[in-house]
Amino acid sequence: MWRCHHRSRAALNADGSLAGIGGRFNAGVDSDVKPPFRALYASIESAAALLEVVRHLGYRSPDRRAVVALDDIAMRVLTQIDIDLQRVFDLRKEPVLRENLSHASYRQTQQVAGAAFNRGAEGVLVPSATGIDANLVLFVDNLDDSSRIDLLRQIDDLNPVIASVAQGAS
Amino acid sequence: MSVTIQERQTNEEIALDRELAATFISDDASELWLKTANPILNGDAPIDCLNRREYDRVRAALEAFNTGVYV
Repeated sequence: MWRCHHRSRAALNADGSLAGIGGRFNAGVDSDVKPPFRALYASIESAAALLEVVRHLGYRSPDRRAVVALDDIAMRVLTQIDIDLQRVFDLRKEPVLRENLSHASYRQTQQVAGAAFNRGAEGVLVPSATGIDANLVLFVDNLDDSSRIDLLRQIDDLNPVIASVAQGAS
Repeated sequence: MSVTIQERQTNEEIALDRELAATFISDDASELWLKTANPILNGDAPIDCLNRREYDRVRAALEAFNTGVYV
């Protein structure tokens, strides 16, 4: 699994997920979905982890002809993590997520994730908004004692990954 | 030593400017992030929050972005 984060932040820092109404699959402190719960967002594919961030730095799909802000990606790193969890719920077939993630409201995605969290899930497999494979959202406050998350390696130079993503998009 | 409301606001703005500078290299990317509706802010654009002096909300959204929260 891969995480993309600012180079000044720890790879396993999930505290930022409680901000505002929260992320796509976790409720933040201002969300209508209660209770708030922390989540660590990761992707199966490194390209998906990168694109989940890049698309907020000016990236648009190739047909919309926008430009990726390459300089700003340089502030990011990709961290590969090895995960061994006991209870992961596969939500990729969940009706509200299956059709088109962009059509699902935050309330819907957070409710689905919240239900899994309340049932003790340590994480959920969900579709990626990038369309590349799937994301794993880890509920760090539900982790079992026997579960583990290990850091494997960190990639500081993202240019090769960007080049491979660009090649795949062309 | 007491700090006036105006001084506190100035300090908050300076701190936030530093965070933005550490997050984005280009002004274009920073401007895009500030002007784009942000789901974490319930659809508000960070710039609108700043105009309302809601510095904590913007700082929290920036932290979410930097720690890799998917939105």
